[in-house]
Amino acid sequence: MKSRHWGLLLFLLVGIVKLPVEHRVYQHLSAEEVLPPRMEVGVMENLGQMGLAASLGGLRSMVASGLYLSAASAWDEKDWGSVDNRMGIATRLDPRYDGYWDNAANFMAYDAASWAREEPEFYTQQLYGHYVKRGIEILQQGLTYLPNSYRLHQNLGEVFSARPQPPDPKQAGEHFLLAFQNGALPVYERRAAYEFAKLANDPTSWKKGYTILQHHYAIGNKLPGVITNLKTLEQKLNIPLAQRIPDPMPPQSRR
Amino acid sequence: MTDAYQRFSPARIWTLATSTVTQLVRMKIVAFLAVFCVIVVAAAFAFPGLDAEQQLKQLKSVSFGAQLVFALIIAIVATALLLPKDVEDRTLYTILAKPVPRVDYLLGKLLGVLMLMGAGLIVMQIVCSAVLWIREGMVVSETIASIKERYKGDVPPEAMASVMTNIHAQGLAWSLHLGTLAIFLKGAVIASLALLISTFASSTLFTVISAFCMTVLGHGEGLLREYFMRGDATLWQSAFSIAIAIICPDLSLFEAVDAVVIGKAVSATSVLYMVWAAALYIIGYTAVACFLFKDKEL
Repeated sequence: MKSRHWGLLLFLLVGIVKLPVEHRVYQHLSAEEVLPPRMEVGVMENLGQMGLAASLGGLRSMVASGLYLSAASAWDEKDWGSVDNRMGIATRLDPRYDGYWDNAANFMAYDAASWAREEPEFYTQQLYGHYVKRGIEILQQGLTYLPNSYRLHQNLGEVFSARPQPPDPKQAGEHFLLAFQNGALPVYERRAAYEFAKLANDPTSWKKGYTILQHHYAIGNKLPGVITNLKTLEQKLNIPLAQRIPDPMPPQSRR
Repeated sequence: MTDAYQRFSPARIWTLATSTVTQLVRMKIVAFLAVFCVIVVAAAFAFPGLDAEQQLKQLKSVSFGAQLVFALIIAIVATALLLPKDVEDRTLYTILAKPVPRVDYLLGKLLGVLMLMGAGLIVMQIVCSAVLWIREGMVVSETIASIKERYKGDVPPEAMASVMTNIHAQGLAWSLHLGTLAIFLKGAVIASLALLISTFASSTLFTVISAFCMTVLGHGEGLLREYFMRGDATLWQSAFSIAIAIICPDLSLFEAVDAVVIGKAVSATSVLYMVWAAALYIIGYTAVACFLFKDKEL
């Protein structure tokens, strides 16, 4: 047998031997989140030529950056469809970067929705609601890739707290709490409690909020917002007078 | 054949590698480094309208993208040019007329390409790190000034800490250098593949196109495998997927850049896994190249 035949045989052998090694390395690196998640075929079909070429050329991060810039220029022109489309591809190309999910959601839930509200010739409640809902969807999709991102929970809490009409304090509170549990600043734990205090009839959430605010109060964090909401929750939960805080109601509550 | 002749000589391989570096440098391939410096500096100041965090993220993405392009060009084009250039210049005959085994010649050529690529990537990473460090300092100062203005001097420490955490996550960190290592490993695998192709290719163009196709397929090997291995794939589709998996390396194993760019720490074990995979490909493809080159008529 000639050398080139041996070479061909060795090439096939290397090809077969490498398969389990590739699988093992891929499993390890994916588990450690070193590799970007593989795109599903359904997602690829929506990526277009640019996204597909990027994913096959190893330039996902760079193309995602380019798409972000392109979305920003569409944002300048208030072309919300293009903004959503380009940010949609950018987030799928670089799904582990929470900044893209965060920005994509802000573009829809804040910028597009506010534009819809301020343009009398376009404004309808449905259009405003559509953009807010889209922003929420983007953040929820982002959380499927990054369930522990405090930034996405924080933003989702902000959106649920202020953007839908009417707002959803229950969801807002839950996401503020998750944001705090995943590393956000303590103000978000307090804000979770403030949201729970807004609920009309939810004793479980009230108790959760009461426990949080009691803790803040006990450690000396006697901010006007803490006192106001603690008093609200004391009333809602019918806390005995002896166990209520002695402070008077602040003149104007602040965070 | 003299007594001093050795079948395998690291010194001889080193000599061939250094001469390969000289040969490639004379081809002006490293001029790309100057272009890279311009790209990085431009990327650092090209997006003033973006927030501080995004400006740093864009700088890193563009820098790593340029590093990858450099590595791919060196790995594919420079490697593809080596053997035909040596044949054209008659250097190959001069070398092989001496007691130099063909294995040493191939290893020397590959090592030369890897040395040039590694040195180029190190220079690029130093430039990228320096620009990123300078830019990070600038955007931090700008952001502090902007926050102070917004809060009229009375800045809540929590607000400042939150913004600074997001900016520093996109700033200079040791883990960034692992992105360059991952690009080097990917480039090394592609270079060994291009060398393998050039041992049986009839022209430089054939080597470049084939290596480029293998690179694209290599990035999509996992996707193709998953697509064709789905339950609804026919026998032919499954056979095709297996053939692709056997022929191409899975280059997506070296895509650590995305994680590094967003500031994710990469463990030593993960680095070892990547090095292990790269070593398997390089050793395997170089061994095949040596077999194919052994009896090649020159």
